[in-house]
Amino acid sequence: MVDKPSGSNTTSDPASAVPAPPVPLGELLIKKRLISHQSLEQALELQKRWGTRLGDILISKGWIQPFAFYRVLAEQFKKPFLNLMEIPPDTSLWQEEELDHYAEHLVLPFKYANDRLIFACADPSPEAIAYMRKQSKDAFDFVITSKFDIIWLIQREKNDYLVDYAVNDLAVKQPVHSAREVFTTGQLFSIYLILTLLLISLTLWPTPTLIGLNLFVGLFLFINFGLRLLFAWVGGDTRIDVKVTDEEVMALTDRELPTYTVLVPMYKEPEVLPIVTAAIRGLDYPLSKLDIKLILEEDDEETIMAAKELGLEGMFEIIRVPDSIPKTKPKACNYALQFARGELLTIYDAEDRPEPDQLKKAVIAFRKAPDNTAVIQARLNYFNADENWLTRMFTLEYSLWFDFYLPALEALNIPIPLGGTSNHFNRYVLKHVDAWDPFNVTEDADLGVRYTQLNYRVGVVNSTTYEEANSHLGNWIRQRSRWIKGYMQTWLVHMRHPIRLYRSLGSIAFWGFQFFIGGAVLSALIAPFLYFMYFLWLFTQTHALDPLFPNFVLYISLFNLLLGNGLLIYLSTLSVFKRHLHHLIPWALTIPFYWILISIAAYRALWQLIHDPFYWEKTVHGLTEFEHEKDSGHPLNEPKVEAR
Amino acid sequence: MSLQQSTKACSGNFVLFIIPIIIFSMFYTHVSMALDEAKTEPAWKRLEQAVVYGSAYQLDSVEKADPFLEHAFTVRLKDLGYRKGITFEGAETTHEARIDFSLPVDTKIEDAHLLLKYRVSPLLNKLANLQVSIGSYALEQVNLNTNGVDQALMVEIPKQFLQGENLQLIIRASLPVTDDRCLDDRLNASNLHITENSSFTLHYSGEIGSIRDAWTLLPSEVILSLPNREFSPAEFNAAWELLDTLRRQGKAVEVVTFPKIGHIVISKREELEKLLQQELDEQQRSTGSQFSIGNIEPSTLALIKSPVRSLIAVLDPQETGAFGLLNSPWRKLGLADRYRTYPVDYADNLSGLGSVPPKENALEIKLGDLNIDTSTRFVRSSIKWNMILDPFRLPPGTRPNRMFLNIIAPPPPGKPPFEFYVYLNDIMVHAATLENGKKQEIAIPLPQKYQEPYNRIQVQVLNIDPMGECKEDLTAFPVQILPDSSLIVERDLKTPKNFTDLPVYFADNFDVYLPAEYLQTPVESLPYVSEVTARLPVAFKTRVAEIVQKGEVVKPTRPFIAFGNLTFESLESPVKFDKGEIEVVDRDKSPLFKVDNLPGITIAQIVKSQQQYGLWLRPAEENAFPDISKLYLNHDDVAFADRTGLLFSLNSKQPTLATVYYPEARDWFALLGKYRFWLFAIGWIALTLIVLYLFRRAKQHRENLGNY
Repeated sequence: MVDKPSGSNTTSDPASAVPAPPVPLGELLIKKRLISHQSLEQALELQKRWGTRLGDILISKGWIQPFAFYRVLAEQFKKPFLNLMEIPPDTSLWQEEELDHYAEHLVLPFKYANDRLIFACADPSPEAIAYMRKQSKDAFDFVITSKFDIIWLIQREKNDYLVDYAVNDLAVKQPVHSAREVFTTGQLFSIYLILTLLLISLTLWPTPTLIGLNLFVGLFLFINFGLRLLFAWVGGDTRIDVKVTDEEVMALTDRELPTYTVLVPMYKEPEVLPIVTAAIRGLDYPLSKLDIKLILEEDDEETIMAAKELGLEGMFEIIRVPDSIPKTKPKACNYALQFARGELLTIYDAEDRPEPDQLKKAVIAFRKAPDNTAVIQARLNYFNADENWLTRMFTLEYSLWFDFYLPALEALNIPIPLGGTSNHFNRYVLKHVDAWDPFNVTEDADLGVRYTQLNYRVGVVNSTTYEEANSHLGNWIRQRSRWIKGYMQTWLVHMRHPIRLYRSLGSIAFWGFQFFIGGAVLSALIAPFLYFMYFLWLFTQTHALDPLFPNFVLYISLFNLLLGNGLLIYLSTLSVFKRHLHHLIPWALTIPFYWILISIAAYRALWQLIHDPFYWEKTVHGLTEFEHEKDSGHPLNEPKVEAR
Repeated sequence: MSLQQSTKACSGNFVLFIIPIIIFSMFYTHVSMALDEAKTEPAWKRLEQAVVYGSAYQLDSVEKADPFLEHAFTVRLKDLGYRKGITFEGAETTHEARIDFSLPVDTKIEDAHLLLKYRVSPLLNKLANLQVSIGSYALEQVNLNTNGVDQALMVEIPKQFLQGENLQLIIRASLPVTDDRCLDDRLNASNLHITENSSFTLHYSGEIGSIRDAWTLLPSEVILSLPNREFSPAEFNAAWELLDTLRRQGKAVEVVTFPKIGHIVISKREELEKLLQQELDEQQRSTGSQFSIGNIEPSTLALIKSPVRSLIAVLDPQETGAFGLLNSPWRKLGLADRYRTYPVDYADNLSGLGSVPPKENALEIKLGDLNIDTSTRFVRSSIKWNMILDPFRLPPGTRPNRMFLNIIAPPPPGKPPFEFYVYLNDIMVHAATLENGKKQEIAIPLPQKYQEPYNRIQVQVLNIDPMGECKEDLTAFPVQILPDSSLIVERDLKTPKNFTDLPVYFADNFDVYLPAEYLQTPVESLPYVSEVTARLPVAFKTRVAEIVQKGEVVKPTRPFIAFGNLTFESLESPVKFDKGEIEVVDRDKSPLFKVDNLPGITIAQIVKSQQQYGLWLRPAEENAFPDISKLYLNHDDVAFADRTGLLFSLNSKQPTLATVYYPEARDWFALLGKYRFWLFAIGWIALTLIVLYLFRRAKQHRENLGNY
């Protein structure tokens, strides 16, 4: 259906393509009784502050139905309004490589008519006009349509291309960085060769070989403990810890803020949908500058229906990800990335509760960071720390990880394994590095390493997103085994060419990667053997293991057992000081039991790496009782990390 | 030097040298004559003739009489516990020692004397002297200004003092060197050593009047006679009880078999009658009729008198005898010549200090109850109290925890206060300053890690600024550890980790397991068992051994002591005997010694069977009973001992130095080594299959994703 407004015209003159509207949009909307005077005044007031277009403000505030707005917009521009769902465009005019730009500018080639290319446009901004002019190379014209028509139409018509892009873009362009191939032939051969040599050595020189293995493990753990101490030391430095102050946030004006894309991948989580949308609305950021994508799987009718029923404001867009393999979060994000319009982009999980000023802090952090900064990682912590033992352990671990280790990794320029959520990307750089690896189940950690390899910088910012700590053991094991499997994938991917990796990272970053990514996996895998040997000796007083522990190995092992483990427990107690969670300190003494769970998850991960490497173990959210209890208060009321 | 002076000097030398030579020659002639006559004299007669009453002379050796044959009884200082004799040191005015001797009360004592053998510094001056007295009655006093060689002093005890159960003799000595006390202290020459072989001898007439007297008159080296046959368990238990009792009294026991007759006999009545008859016949002193002991109930402790000898007999033992009672306040019951023995529970407790109430963990014991001297002492420069905490005197299941010493020490006016030190087994555990003349209570910890089975506690009070004129006596100040000072003992029934924990672990009750073979050779097995149990500071309630038949498996139900080659149910032991040769090696596996090369060795260890811990002593050689007379258990849990004592001990829980190694045993590591090539082949094939599988899986994943 085409609504032809009176006086409509088309032109080849770009200047005349945007004729001065005879009647201001606001007045037109009031005249058509679509908004009230009061809404208009408020919108105009916001427009002064935010510096965005009136229509975006009205839609983001939910003060007008988008479809009605676009009709009026067409009338104001004296252009026909086109319902693309009813009058499909000529898709042969589309260039697939331009699809993301279509989505970005909300423009679609519609058809050729009168020797000119007619575009369907939802927002005839100067940037959109410039883009249409560039694309047409000749005379062009446009008609008005709605934003949702453009997005839905692109998805409907170019589904295969979009999916292929989401799944294979990295694998095609940078196969060496894709986890699509779990083990390369070279890696398998290397493993085979090393283990064969080890077997030969065990056969010919059993005791020296076992002592050598024991020594290797002892030294590895010794260095691992040392590194973690170093990280805690460096990460505890306040000069590293504090990035953006509250004063800097206060000084920031809304007009200078860029458009921010927020990706919210969800799967079968209708119950947390109202919570996450409320959390996003609570962000201290101009709503009209938010480009929010609720990324839902096509087969997840339940969540899609729930999203529709919520009647969300126009800033919320639902991106339906077609059902395809691998069914992973990075693939869904890659898919949604093609519709992103923000200069910056972040990801929040459904249960996330970011601090309100997080986006602003990220903007400032980007401005303060070196030019090659590609991503800023916010801290993660848990709002249900006190729910049970598991959540307490999880909180201790995360506090140490995000409050100490990550700032230290940044300071030492060691690849930072990103946290999966609340990482704030420069969208252009993200696209440039071909985004996330859809085959890696910890795509975030992989991306952090890839950035460092490509000489981009990964930073951290002192803002926290509160998540729901896993309070259910089975759920925790599933989540942790996925993480460890992802670490295995990441290590295998980047160690396909160790020398090349060493050259691209440098020695500190290379060894940091080995110990922080590879070491985390290895220590979880070998821990049960060490526990077994220790308890065997403890309960049986056997001397059978004595040959494996000559004095120098024994002393290293004893050091690791007593001081190393003690040190990690101590660091865990230390970690809660920053967040004033002092009541968790005694619980740190029980963390060795948590390490046992991590080892269990590690072996599950190893099994899955072989049998189902791309399977995404879904973590069930919404199990916590805390969420419901505290939901009335905004999560952002949680205590903030104080700058020291 | 002038001629006159030279003449004087020569005269002096003449007096100094010639006169002693003359005296010595006279003495030598006298002694030689006496020794010639001694061939036909009883030993005690020879002894008495060798010493001139009331004078000090040299004496090389003394033979002892057999009290049951020759109507004479001798006890040496070392038999009374003075194992190294008595030593007086320092120039203080008077040294003093009080020695108690037991006397028979139902036997007619003819005479008694004390023979003091001593050695003094040759530098003592003419006023140095030694005095023997009973209470305030001075018996003898001699000058100690001698030439420093060994001396002897025989002191006859007047008859009026030979009544009652005890005789206390007081020995005092003054040991000045010069006239200057200050110089004396610096010379280190004031010393008198009374040797451990000094003795007290009494002669009695007629027969020994009672069994308690016979017990008192037992010599220090007792001979126990046993029939040369297999023992019944009851006989073994009785003999074992007797041996332990005698040994805990400090007596040496020689076990012999019939026909040799000792001071004590354990047998059936008929066997003893036959033996004594045989002796009478041999000595042609038979009365013509068969010698009869008379009707005596089984399990009776009896004083048997034949025309030839007296002896103590345990006839037809069916119960463990209560020989310990003869050392206790119940001893007075043994006034007849027979004493029916009954099984006694808590026999040791009767002579001890009771037990800790079940609900309490600690008990306070007054020092006075531990026979520790709490009389007033006088300090000039320094004074010491030496205490031995005898574990047999402590309540079963307890060990010392701390002491509260109440002490009064008036400080000299205007002088620094006295210093106060306490040592536990030669380790200083407390030091303090005694501030004033009031009663002070000082808490002294007795750390468990410094404790031994017998704990020696030494208390020293030091006057760091002695007062007095050098030409006169140093001023002495009274110091007293008050009788209400106390020792706190605590119950601590934890799992035994080392030998020193065993007395506490065994406190409530325990079993003793013996192989049945031990009954076949009691002459050898009894001393072996008793050597251990008599020295082990555990409180036996009764000595009843569980006899383990060959092939039988021991299943302990409570703590235990086990001897010999036994088989236990679910045994956990630091040293295993089923793994072939046993070596003790250092950390580098270098052998320290091989058990098989030490045939006379016994291995003592703490073992666990059926959740019960026990002490297991097993000779390295089967059916051997090595002499282990000096086995003192310490802070380890494995000990290797032979007749010379403890050879080596180790703690299997903390093998910092040595470990037990079985060179013939194949552990899992050796087993793997033996088949390592097969294991390599299996491992390599498995590895190849795994890598191929991984390769295939990776390929499958690639193919499955091919459509995307």
